[in-house]
Amino acid sequence: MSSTSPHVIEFIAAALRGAPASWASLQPSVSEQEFLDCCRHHGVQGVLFHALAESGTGHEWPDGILTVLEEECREFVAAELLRGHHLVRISEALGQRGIRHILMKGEALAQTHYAQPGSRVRGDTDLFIHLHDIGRVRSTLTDAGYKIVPPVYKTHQFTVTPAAGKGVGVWFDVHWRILNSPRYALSFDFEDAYAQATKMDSLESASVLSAEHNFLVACMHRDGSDRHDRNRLIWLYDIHLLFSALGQEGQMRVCRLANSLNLQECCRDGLERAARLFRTRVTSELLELLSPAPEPVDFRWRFSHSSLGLLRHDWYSLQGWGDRRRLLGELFLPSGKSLLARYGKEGRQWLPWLYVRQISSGVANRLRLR
Amino acid sequence: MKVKDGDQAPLNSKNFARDQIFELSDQVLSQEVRGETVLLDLASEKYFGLDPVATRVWQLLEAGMTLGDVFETLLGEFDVEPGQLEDDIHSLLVSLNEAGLIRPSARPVES
Repeated sequence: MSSTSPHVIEFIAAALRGAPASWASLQPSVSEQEFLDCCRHHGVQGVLFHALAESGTGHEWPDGILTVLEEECREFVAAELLRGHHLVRISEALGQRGIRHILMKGEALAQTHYAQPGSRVRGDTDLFIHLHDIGRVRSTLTDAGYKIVPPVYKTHQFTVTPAAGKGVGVWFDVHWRILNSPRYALSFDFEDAYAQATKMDSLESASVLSAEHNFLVACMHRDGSDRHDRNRLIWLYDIHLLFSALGQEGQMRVCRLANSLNLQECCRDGLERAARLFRTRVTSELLELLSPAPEPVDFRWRFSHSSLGLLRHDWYSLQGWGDRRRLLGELFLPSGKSLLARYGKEGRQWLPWLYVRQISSGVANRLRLR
Repeated sequence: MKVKDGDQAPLNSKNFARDQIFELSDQVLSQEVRGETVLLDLASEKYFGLDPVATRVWQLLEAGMTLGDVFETLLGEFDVEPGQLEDDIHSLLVSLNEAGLIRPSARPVES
C-alpha cells in the first residue's frame, strides 16, 4: 500500500480530528517509515503530534513514530523562534520607514489559527507589499542586513535572507502580487488586502491578512500550485480551520466575495475536500453560492488572466522605466551567470545559445493562454 | 558564596553557593510546548530541548531565583530525593553553562 493511499490519508485526517485512529487498522500494509514519509509529504508532523497529545490518543502507536513526530515538532519550534526573530527585525525595519506590509499564508495562519504556531509546517514567511514599494523594501532590507535573491519582477515576488552567515534556512518571500499564478495574481491587490487586514499584537508594524482573504489565498494557492501535491493535507486543514473559524456570517461573506472575484471553483473544491476529510461544516446554501460559473469565453477575460495579460498589467502598474527595464531584463535577458546556473552549463561559449533559448521560451510562455 | 563583579565562579564543581544566581544569555529565545521548552541560541543557531523538570529550573532561573531557592522549590514540587535533585540540577547547570545559555551572575545578591 502506498503511503499516500486514501486509507492512510483518512487515518491521518481522523487523528487530526481527534477521532479514534488505531494503528492496528493500518497493519500490516503500512510500515513506520512509509507512514512518516506520508506525514512529511503532507506537512502534518507538527499538527499530528499536537492533535494526539490534545485528544489523549495514539498511545498504541509505535514509539518510533511518536518519537520522530515529537523530535520534528521540536525542530519546527526552533525554526519558528529563529524565523520570528528575523520577522521582528524585518517588520521593524519596514515600519521605521513607513512601509506597509502584510503577513500572509502559512505564517499568518500559524499565528492566527493554530494553537501552537510552530506546529504549522512552513518553509518560508510570506509578506505582501505594495508594488510601488518594491524599491524601498529592497533598499530597507539590504540596509538592515538582508540579501535580496533575484529575480524580483519576473516572479511577482522576491526572496530575502540574512546576508551574514547566521539565519541559515530563514527565507522571506516578499510578494507584490497576491499570487504568482496568472490565473489568480490580480484577484485582489494590496490596497484591498490592507483595507481589511488586522493588526498583530506581537508585531507592531505588521498587519495580517484578514481571515476572509487568507481563506481565498489558501484556496487559490492550493489550486495554482504546480510544485506540490494539490491535496496536501496541511493545505486542506488550513482551509478547514479558516472556514470553520469564520462563523455563519463570515462564511456567507467569504462565499459571496469568492463569487464576485470569480473564485468559486477553487473555493468549492477546497471546501468539499476539506469537508470530506475534516468534517468541515459547509451548508448546501453556501455550496450553491460557490457553484462554478460558466467557463468564461470572453477573450478579454482570458487575455487578462494569461501570462501575457499579466505582463501587460505589470508593465503599466510598475512606476518608472527603471522597474520596467528590470522586468524585461529578468524575463528575457537575465545575467549570464544565472543563465548558466539555470541550465546547468559551464563556460561562456554556451551563452549565445542560452540567450536565444531564453528569449524564445520567455516569449512562448507569455503568449500561452490558460 | 557571593559573586563579585567580574568574578565568575567555575561550574566544574558542585560547590555552588545557595545564593548564587544565574544570568540567562540575551541570545537565547525560548518557547514552551506542552510542558517542555525549546531553547534557541541565536549565537550558534543551535537548539536545545528541556524536559518538564529542566523547564521548571529554567523558569525559576529566569525569575532570578537563587540556586538555594530553585532547589527548595523543586524539592517541594517533585517527588525526588534531595541528593538526586542536587545532582540533576548540577548537571543541568553545567550543560546550560557549557552551551553558553547561562552564566553565573556577577551581580551580588542582597542578603
